Amino acid sequence: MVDMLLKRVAQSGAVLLFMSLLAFAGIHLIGDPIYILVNPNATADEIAAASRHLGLDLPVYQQYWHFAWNALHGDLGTSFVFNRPVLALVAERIPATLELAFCALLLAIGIGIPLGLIAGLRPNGGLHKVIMAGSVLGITMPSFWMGLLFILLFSVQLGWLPSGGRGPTVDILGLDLSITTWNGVRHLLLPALTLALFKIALVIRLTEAGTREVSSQEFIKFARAKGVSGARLMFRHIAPNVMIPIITVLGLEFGHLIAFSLVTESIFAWPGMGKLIIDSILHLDRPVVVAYLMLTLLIIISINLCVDFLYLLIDPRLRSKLN
Amino acid sequence: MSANLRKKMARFLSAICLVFLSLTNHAADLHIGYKTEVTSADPHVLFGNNRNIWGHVYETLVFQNATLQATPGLATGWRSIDAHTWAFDIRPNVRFHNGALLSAEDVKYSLERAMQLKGARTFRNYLKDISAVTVSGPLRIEIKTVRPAPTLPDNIGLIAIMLRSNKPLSEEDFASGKSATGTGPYKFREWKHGQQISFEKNTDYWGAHEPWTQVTFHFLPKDAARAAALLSGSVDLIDSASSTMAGIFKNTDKIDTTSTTSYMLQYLRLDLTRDDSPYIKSADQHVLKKNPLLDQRVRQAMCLAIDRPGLVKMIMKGDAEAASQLVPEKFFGFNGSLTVPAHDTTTARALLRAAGYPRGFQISLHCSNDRYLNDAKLCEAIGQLLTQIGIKTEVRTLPFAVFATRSINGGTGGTPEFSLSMIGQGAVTGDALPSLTTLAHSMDRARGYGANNITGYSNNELDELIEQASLTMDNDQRAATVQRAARLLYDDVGVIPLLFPKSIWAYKKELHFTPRSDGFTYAMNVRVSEKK
Repeated sequence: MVDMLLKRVAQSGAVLLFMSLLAFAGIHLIGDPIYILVNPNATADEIAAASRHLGLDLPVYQQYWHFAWNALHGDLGTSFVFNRPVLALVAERIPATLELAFCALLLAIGIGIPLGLIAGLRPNGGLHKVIMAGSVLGITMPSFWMGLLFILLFSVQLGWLPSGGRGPTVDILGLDLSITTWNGVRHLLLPALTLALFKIALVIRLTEAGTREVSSQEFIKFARAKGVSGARLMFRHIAPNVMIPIITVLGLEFGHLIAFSLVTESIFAWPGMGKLIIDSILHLDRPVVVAYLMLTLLIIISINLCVDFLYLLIDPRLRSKLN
Repeated sequence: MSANLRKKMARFLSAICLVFLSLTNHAADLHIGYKTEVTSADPHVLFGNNRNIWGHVYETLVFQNATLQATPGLATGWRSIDAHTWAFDIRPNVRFHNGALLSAEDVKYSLERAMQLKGARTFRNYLKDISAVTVSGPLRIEIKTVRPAPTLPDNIGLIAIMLRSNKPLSEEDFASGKSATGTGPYKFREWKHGQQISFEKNTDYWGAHEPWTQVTFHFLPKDAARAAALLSGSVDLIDSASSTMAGIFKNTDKIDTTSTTSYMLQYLRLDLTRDDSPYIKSADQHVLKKNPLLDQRVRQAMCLAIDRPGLVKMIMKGDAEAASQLVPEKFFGFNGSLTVPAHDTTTARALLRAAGYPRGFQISLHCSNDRYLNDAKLCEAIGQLLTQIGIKTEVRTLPFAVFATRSINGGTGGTPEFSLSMIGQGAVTGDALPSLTTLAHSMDRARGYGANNITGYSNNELDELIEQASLTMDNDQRAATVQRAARLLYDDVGVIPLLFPKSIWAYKKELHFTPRSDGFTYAMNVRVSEKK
């Protein structure tokens, strides 16, 4: 167990190092941010002074060395555009993105799994057709388009929900969350649903396929023959066996929700990290871009670690293998 | 349900809605949907969109009116004592948000802080003429300049006056509101990064009081999000309401729009330094002996090839004004005798023939595709217009981040790379002279001329006029010189001016909005309409 953990940490460190190199080199190749930052009328002397101030006059390997050295000491640099520590900048936007991603994940689980189970248990029913058709729709519709449709319908036409922004937030354990107030939830609903739609459809399809496969297997038939039925059959015998692939996929997808929620964030003007990274790339704000990529990577790595532990929890075969 | 009953119910429901609205929305709060996010709360960090926002909290010695001409602000008046000294009289009885009286010391502190601030985005360029700021009375300061500086009051009009502080102020001090102490009609309330910034009314304001108790700017960068927020009523006014949105607003009778010509000029930059320009070839793909752009007739032909009214109508959908010179009408130094160049392909072809290019030549036009309104589309259209007169034009569009670097030092040895490119230039102080100085005067780094003239346009006569104007303290005389310079640049086609994009706002019909040439969205310009 500890072995596995240590190996994982070492691997993660190597990936982070490689990623930082790649990101640093990549954003450096695009161009020099100084020409975007300074006043277009600035004289050559002013540009040179500003370059020196930001450390852009150094050769790129030295810039990377400075960055890496500071990063090891917990300082990811200062944003060129915002003139503030990058860590603070990203940190204050993480709660918004995490909240959105978590709500989307909960929606995916809360709606997707029950619907998938229902459809899977009655493969020939009318409900099956409706649910599966709905899931095809959810998979094929681009989320930005659904987002715009939601805005048009629920905000502009009906006026029920706000079209964007993040409503009032309440500080809970150091995280600014909007889910605790009704107004906050109203702001959260549309973007979370937009982000979740594809995942809901995905979970429905996975659960449906898993349920059909599991329920036709020998051990289920045996359980039925023993007289197990209803909820016990469902939750003790079918559901856990369906869950393994779903957890794998949801783990990966949750990483995606966090890292790639930027389309939804920009449609709904959600002040999360997605918006920050897009702006920072356009402004060649190198410290922010590199720090963002590293932090996202860290999150994805941690999620994968969690997924591994969840496997152990659910599947007794894996536990016995480790012991 | 009978039609009658339905009508009654509808009336009843709308009555309830009205009562509800009048209870919750007491019309004293203003919500603005703002396209660009604010990046810094320090008013001495240069960035147009930040300046728009902090203009509610901080004021300047010299205000700019709607066409950006200087008017009295925190200074009641100013005059030049001699060629190297300006004196400003400071308005008495002006109080900062914490109650402290504004004094000459605060002004000196603010100007000096703006001059010394480090970083990439500073106002130093506008303050480079200043050699010393001295307090010559409790409400009087004198500014010494290294050379005669007729545009100094304009430039001073960009610098926020803040309460003096004994210790250096950091970005955090401003962002948290701890040191966000100005004299403006609104007080800083809260800034939620990436989301919104809000102000409340300054009840001790020296000038006319504002009708809004609270003003909130919501950052909504996506056009669709801004339009939806306005339509759904969560904001009262939005900026950058381009024509793509106009169609949506036409279907509702609740929205008004207004626009004004902005200070930003879109123009074509021509490579006039190299004989062998990398993106110019002869009509049959050979290297040319001489750079055709060096011939004034060729530049003239290109200028005539461009159908400006067509571009405004077809590409910009009316969101722009055709340009003949560097600044729009009503700006200082605008020359009314210069007309927008006609779209005349016959003359253009004749000029090309006369210049020795009967079969034209090949050229690449480089543009950004994410910086200005419709920039990529504009370039495609310009490419076709140039091709029509025989200059086969290949259009290449790039993200601005890439474009900016390559256009300045992407060529061999760190030289400007492009042969022909489109870019914008803003006359921020409402004056044509700074634009002429930076992009029409020959580049002279030591003396600070031609900073933006990276493609090497040079005309001695024009240089002399610009230098003369920049040392002329008499405003009428200076205006005449600037206008002569504008005429010279026009005749010589040093740059090819295209158009001034418009700034557009959309807002609820109950409101009235006064637009400004700098495109700023001030709550001070939003009023409840009286006629409705």
